[in-house]
This record gives sequence, structure tokens and C-alpha cells, in this order.
Amino acid sequence: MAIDRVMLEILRNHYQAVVEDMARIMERTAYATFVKETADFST
Amino acid sequence: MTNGRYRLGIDIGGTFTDFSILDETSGELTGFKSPTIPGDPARGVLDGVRALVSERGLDPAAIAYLVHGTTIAINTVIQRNGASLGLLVTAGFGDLLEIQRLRLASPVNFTATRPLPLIPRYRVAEVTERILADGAVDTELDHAGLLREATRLVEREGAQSLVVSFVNAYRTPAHEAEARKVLAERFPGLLVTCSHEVWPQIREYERTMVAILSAYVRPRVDQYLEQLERELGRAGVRVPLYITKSNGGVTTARDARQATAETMLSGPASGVIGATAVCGRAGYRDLITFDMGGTSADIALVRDGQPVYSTDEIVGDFPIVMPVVGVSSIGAGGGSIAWLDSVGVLKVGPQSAGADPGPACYGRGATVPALSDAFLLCGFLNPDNFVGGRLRLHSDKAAMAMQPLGAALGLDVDATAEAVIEVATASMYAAFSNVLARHGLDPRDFALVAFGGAGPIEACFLAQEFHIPRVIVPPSPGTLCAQGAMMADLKSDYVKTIHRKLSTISGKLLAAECAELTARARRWLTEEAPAVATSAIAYSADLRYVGQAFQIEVPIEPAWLDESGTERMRAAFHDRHERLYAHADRGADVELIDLRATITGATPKPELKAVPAGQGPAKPAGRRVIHYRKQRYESAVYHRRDLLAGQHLDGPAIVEQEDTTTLVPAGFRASVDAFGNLVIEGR
Repeated sequence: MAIDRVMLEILRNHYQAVVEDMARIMERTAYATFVKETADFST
Repeated sequence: MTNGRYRLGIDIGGTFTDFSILDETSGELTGFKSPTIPGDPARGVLDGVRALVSERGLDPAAIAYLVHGTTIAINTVIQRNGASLGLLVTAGFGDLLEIQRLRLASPVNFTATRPLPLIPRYRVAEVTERILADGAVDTELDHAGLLREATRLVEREGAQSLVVSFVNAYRTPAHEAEARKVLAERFPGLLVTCSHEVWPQIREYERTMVAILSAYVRPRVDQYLEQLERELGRAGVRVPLYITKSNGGVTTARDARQATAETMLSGPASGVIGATAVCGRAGYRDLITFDMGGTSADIALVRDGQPVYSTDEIVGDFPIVMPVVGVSSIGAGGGSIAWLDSVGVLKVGPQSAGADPGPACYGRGATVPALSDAFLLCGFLNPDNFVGGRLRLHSDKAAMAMQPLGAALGLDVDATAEAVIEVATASMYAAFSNVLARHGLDPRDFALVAFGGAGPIEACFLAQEFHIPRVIVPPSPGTLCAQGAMMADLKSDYVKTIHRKLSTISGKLLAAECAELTARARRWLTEEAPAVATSAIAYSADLRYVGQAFQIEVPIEPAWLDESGTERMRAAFHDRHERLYAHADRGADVELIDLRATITGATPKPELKAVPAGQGPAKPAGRRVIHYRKQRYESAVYHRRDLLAGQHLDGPAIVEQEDTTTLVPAGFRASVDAFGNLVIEGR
């Protein structure tokens, strides 16, 4: 299947926005020092 | 302020230097653009002033008020061409600039590195002294050691000026002050910057960084403003120069040459002030401001008629904890270059064609396609009426630049231009979406205010992505930053770290601390603007529950500054915590971390000319074909100056004016309000 290289970039941006929104919301609601101070969501 | 007819606001962008001129006798506001000279911004300003004098017959002696937003400080940090500094710190803290903060720029990148400090490690020296967290002196300052290290930094390592930042100096500044005295005796004339004088707030790295940034940019800012004032004087300007600050206020050039850290984000902040003022007058109080020029796009939030301030902004690679108007920026503007990455995917920006050579359509020899070329090829820009017809655009050159990109993507020129705009919109969406998420806000509650040269073309596309229901285009969108500078008040911020439990603070102590901040603030205003008619001071406190790691800012009413102050502040904190997090622990003790004061001295506000009223649909001046998202339309073209208050027009439509072009896509209706704003909503 051919990849539309314009649509790919548009979707990449939108997926990135979803992930970053999730990160910001987690950061806002979290109490853990790791999240607050280092933005480390996996420790 | 002396008698004269004109007020002049000047804002330097990456591509154009904008001028906003208000004729106070007629209330008429006009905009003017002149190319920015990146290597010598002062010359760009002077060229513009001279052009205003020769082309518009402006009498420089009739300028009553002159405000300027500078970019010199931030550019010095970004380009890293500031002063060679030496840093003196408490013994044991020499690696402060390398350690920075725990947070990584990218937590998922295993090879991410920390930014290189502005002062290399060999120009950081440790001095024996120690003040404890409660402010008590633990170890006296070692004068001999201080002089030995300072001499090494100045004479052997070539430090042009010294920064002194000791641990806990925000609490007891005695050792920093002592060091200043000792250094002044040994090195008369050497510039010494002490952290407690610049911004005496808790958190050592941030406090040190503010002092370093201030000293780092100082020689360049000083020289730039000195030169600009002198040259403006030579050009016939008789009034003192005012400079816009990162906090959305203004100050004198004399003050700005010393308090250099406060002008770091001067330009973008004045755009937000302008948008807030213009939209506030028309009754819109919750805004997302969208300023898109030739080089970058900036967004900021306005809630309930006040810009949202930030105390964790990043300048270059470094934190700046002074309150600034919170502006987020990405490298997407009219000059942003469209390119293919290593696997052939289309990208737009952050590289910009700038003012010279500019996009290919400027016809100055550029052969790579930029976003403005795409706007022109889609029919949004009028090649004969760009920047008031002073710059002819070349569609053939734009098409020629776009063609290779299209060939690689398998698209024709028109489809490539559409794709470039769609990708630019998507990357702006990705960059700005988290700004709203960070504040927990829903874009559907806001209006998007579009300004800057390219903002009003792009605004409706961006609003659609965000589901923002309303777009507002102010009357002079191309020069709104310059206009905002002209409307801004004199403003300065003060902070004192208290760091004590509320149960140990009496109302009397709180009132005394506020009085001390007030005295500092009043002294500033008396020195910078003795003639100011009205002034106001606002207080606030950063509070948290004991054990919490972050503070919530709570305004303090002046009426609270008596015995009851502490309890009222405590109640206000619980209420605010409840509003933000849906719960409050009213039995728990609360800590006061920082006490803040902001003084505002009102500058006279311009009286703008009202827009004459009309009714019904506006009359188009012509028609032309436009295309976007794989659709072609026969679009009406309007002139902004023909539009009357109360009139409306339906998309697809183009509204042209000297400083910008507005696109109203199909399915939208634009109405002209009583103040001449275009208010665009879905039909």
C-alpha cells in the first residue's frame, strides 16, 4: 500500500498532540515527585 | 508626557519591524511596516522612523510618546553572544550550573543532554561562606578567598563582569552585599550582579539563572538602547524612549538598561496586551491570542480580561522565574520553509526565509518554497496588494519553487500548496494543544484573536482544528504588537520569599512585609515616572499545604492587611484549592512561600476613532478563485476599509488590508462589530 506522505505528517502531528495532552493532564493531577519534578511518567 | 500629536509604538519581529502611529488629534490609528535588519535591529528601527518622516510627513518633534519592544536580550541568549561572566558561589556549590534541574528536555530520549551553561565551569569559583535556610550566619565570608578567586576570574580567565550568588541569599543578603563592597574596592568600575538584588526568590538554580541572564545580556542591551536613543535624538525625536517588558508593562530605557532580565520577552507580551485591550473593549474576555508573523507563531491565554502570567518560562535553554506574560512560540510563520525529511515526508519550518531573501514569491532570489508561497498559490494573497502594494509578489516564482517539492510528492503545484498549508496547520495544532491541556482548559470556551502579518489567513483553519467557535480579527492586525506597546501601563513586579507556616505569621507581620514590598515598588515608580497620574498595587501570595511540592497563587485584597489578614488569606487558599482540585483540607496548616507585589502606573489611553455604521451584507470589491483542501471556490474579495460596523459577509471570502489579509472559509460568516473588529463564526 502506498503511503500518503502528506497525510502521514498531518496524522503524526495529531497523535503527538494526543500524547502530549495526556502527559500534561497526568502532570497536573499527579502528586509523585518523579512526575512533578522530572516529567518522568514511567518510574 | 509633553505636548505633541503622535504616539508611536515600535515592535521588532523576525521579518518586519512594525510601527503603530496614533494621531491624538483625530484618534486615527495607522500601521506601517519596514524590513527588520537582523544584524543591526536599531538600524531597522531608524530606517522605519526616517521612512515615516519622509513618506508620511510625520514630524519627529511632534511625537509625544514613544514605546519600543526589543528583541536584543532574547537574541543574545539564543545566539549566545553575551558577556564573558565569572560566577562566585558558596563553597561546595560549584557545579550548580552543570547539575541544573533533574528534569530532562525529552524524558524518552536516552541520549538527551543538558544545555551547555552560559558560564563555563572554569569561570565558576567557590567562596567560603554559609548562610543557613533560616537566615542565620553559619560561616563568615572569607574576604581573602573571595578576592583571590575574583582576581583569578577577572585577570586570568577574562571575566568582563562578575555574578555573585550565595546559598540562601534570598533570606539573608548580608554576604552578597559584603562581597559587592569588597569587590568594588578591589575592582572599581567592574560590574557586579548580586542574585538578591535581581530577584530574591527561593530556589538556588533559578535565582542564580536570573542574575546570570541579567548580567549576560547587559552589555549588548545597554549598548543597543544607548545607540538607539542617541540616533533617535539625532533624527529629531525629543521624548524619552520607553521599553516594553516581559510582564506586559513598560519602563524607561534608562531602567531597561539596568533591569535587563525584565525585557527578555518584551515583543510577544505587548501583542497579548494589545489583543486583550482591543477585544476587552468589544466585550470578549476569554481569549487565545494567535500572533503569526514571518518567522514564528505565538499563542497566549487571556482569562477574564487578564493575560495569563507564567513564572516558569524558558528563555533559550534557561528558566526565567520572574512573572511574564505566558507566550508559547513555534517556528511557523509566512517565511517558514517547506521541505521533505530523509524519508520524503512533507514538513514546514522551523527554518524561515526571514525578510531577506524572504519567500520565493518576494522575487529576491529565493528558490525554496515557503508558507507564504503556498498562501499566494492558493489565491489567499493578492500579488498586487501586499504590504499596501509596496512589495509585488511573483506567482510564477512561487510556483517554480513549489514545483520540485510537488514532483517528489507526486502532486501538482496547486495540490502541493494546499498540502503545505495543511501540514503547517497540523504542526501548529500539535505545538499549541498542550498549552491548553496544561491549564486544564477547553478551547470551546475561548475566542481566537488573530493578528500578525499571517495570523488572519491561518486563523480559521487553526480554529477548526481546535473547535474554537469564534475568530476575532482586530482592525490593525499586522501591527497589533506595536499598538499594544503603546497602550501598556508602567509596571514592575516584586517578590519576597517568606517560607513560613501561616500559624506563625501574624496579620501585623504580613502587613509589614507587604509594606516593605510597597516601598520598593513606589520607589521604582517615583524614579521612572514621577509624573504618572494614577497608580495601583496588587498583592498576592504563593501558598501550599505543608508538605505539598507546588504553590497556588492567591490574590491578597488590600483590605486584608490588618490583624485578620492571615486568616483571610488561609480561607482564600482553601477556596481556591477547592475550585482547582475539587477538594480542600481545611484543618491542615498552610505555608506562605512567596509574597508578591505588582505596581501599575497608568499611561494615558488612546481614544480610537469609531468605525462608521452601515448595515446588511458588505459590498465586495471584486472576485477571484481560491482553493484549499482539494476544493476550488469563486471567492468574493473585500477591502477592509470599506467595511462598516454592523455589516457582515459570508465565506468563502478574502478581506484585504494594508498590513494583512483575512481568509473567511466557506461555511463561515464574518460580522463587523462597533469597534471595527471582524468577528468570524461558523454559519
